[in-house]
Amino acid sequence: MAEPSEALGPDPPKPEPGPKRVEEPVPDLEAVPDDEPKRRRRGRLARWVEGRAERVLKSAVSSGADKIEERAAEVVGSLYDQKADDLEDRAVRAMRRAIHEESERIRSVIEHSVEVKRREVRLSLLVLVGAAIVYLILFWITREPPAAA
Amino acid sequence: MLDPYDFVRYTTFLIATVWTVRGAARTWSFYKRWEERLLQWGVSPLFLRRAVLAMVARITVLDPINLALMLTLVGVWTFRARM
Repeated sequence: MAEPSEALGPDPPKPEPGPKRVEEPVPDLEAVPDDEPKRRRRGRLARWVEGRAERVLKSAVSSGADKIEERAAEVVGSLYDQKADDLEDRAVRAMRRAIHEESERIRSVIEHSVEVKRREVRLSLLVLVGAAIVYLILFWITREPPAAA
Repeated sequence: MLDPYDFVRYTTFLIATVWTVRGAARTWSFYKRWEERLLQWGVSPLFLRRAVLAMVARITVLDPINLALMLTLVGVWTFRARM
């Protein structure tokens, strides 16, 4: 069976060298009297419990972070989908409105051109009818009366 | 010697023919121009042909004043034949 000290896992990373600090004197545990083995076992057990709790907390935090990340990705994805659908609907409505306005403009242009052509045809027919009637009137005025039987 | 009535009839008939042919040519060019544009959008040639014919009819015989003027002109042209 492994000792509790082995179950503590790897040693914590060594602190980086920084500015020198005044270290407090480490109490000499060996110098403690003979009733100290019990206290030493308690210290080992406390360190083991502390390391175990730290690992459990780390695993819990990491699994929670994964879940939070997945949840955030889902929320962002759903928001993106909603935004894309909204943009698509707006684009379709804008396109339909533009097509309707363009068709109305083309219709008004065609109606205007039909009206202009109608006036042109009317003017041409008026010229023809007027000229024919004037020449016929002149013909009736200048013709010789029919000879009496 | 050309009869004055015949002169009037031939002259007005010639002018009417020239204007009619010119109008038909312009209508045909209008149709071909719009056919090139609208066929790219999937508009059928039959629909376009019917639309152009409807437009020509609205301009000429479906307009009451123009129809009355055309009938008057035909009446003048055939005046002697009906006497």
